[in-house]
Amino acid sequence: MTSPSPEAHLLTGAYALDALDTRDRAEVEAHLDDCVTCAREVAELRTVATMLGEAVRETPPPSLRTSLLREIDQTRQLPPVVPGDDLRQRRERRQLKVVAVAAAAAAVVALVGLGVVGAVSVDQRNQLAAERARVSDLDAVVAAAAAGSAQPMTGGGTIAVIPFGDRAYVDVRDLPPLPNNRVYQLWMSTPDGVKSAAVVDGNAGRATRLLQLQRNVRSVKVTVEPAGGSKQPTTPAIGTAAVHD
Amino acid sequence: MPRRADDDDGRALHAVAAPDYGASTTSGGLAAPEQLLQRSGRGDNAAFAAFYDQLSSQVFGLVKRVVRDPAQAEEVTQEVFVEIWRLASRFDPAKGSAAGWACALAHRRAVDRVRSAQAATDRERRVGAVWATPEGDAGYDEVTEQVELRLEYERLRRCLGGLTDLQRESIMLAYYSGHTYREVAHLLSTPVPTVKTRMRDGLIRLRDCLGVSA
Repeated sequence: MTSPSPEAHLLTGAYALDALDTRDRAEVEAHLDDCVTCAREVAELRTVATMLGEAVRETPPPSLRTSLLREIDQTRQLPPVVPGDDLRQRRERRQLKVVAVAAAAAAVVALVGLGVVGAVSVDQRNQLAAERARVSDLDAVVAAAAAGSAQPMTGGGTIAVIPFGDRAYVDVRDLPPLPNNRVYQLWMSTPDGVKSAAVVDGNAGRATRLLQLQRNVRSVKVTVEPAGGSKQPTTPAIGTAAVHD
Repeated sequence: MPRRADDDDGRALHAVAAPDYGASTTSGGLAAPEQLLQRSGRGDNAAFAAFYDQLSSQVFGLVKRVVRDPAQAEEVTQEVFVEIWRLASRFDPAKGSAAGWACALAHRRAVDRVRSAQAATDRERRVGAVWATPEGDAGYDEVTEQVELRLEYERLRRCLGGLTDLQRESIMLAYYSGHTYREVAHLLSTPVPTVKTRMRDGLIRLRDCLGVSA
């Protein structure tokens, strides 16, 4: 268990009202994963917010219903999340850990200073718990760092790149859903041209990738491409994040 | 989206109380939104239409309150319901009500819409800088503006009346106008940490006054 952060705890009200910017939001969400009391408080305050929302109800025009029902007729639903079917999520978490360890070495030093990591226990179970807490702290550090440098993209969503050594951690989030025959594609851009870096499902919403950077990569770009991805971008970039050396 | 409550007991209770989705749930009876959502998750368009009928005024009213422009409000409302349709199979009633889920999604979307519009305006202003207005002017009227609450929400109005002015204005500006707490602090000429605290203790006071529990 990590100790509750008083800072994040005071933000539960603003969080329930969606009054946080992207960076603060990521910090609070990371904190909520660890703090049961705060998560309960947020649930209660969100219920209050819902009641504020109900009080301004207003009937929409009937045309909206028609147009919505037509659209859902052509919209594929996401499959349920089946327990044990979270292989991809785990893989992403693992990548995140690798990055976290590399990118947030300073944070580790700080945590050791605070005794979070340094608390040596004879009991293996305690060690495991401390390890989990450490990983979760590092996850939060990386998520917050990515949120802090996020660039907005045309049409919605953000892109953040954290380079370290010859690799880079890329976090694209809040991606608007695409039609079924379209995907998001990431590109590494060099003065000599672009090279495909990854294809992201058009309905993924969020994706994190660890890229092996080639020489001279100046930025990571995002385009919308036909399903399966393209060899070269076929549409203008909707987002760009610089890779600093 | 509601957070995971990790409440196994709640899930078990729900399993016991889970209604029969068979022929007994006729189109004539009014099914709970939670049931309609679960049926929507299995691709049932009619259940989704019924879900829309129950919650559309709530979602549309909230979205319109935040984005103001009726055409954009319709657009965002449609986006919200398409998103609900896509995610319906992942709705877990043990983690909260369907209305709460829909409302949270709607508010987040509405706020995202006004903030990205604001970001675009700011960019234009930086580039053009022709009709630059003094910082903070834009939202000033909103501070004194009354939000029209519907008559049946007398209790909510009473509870809001029990807050300090700063608590109430902070909450209203954040929730109904979609401002961040830093913007609210600026609009109310109040230090940021104070606004942060007032939002929280104001909501807690409302929670207690309204008798909300998780």
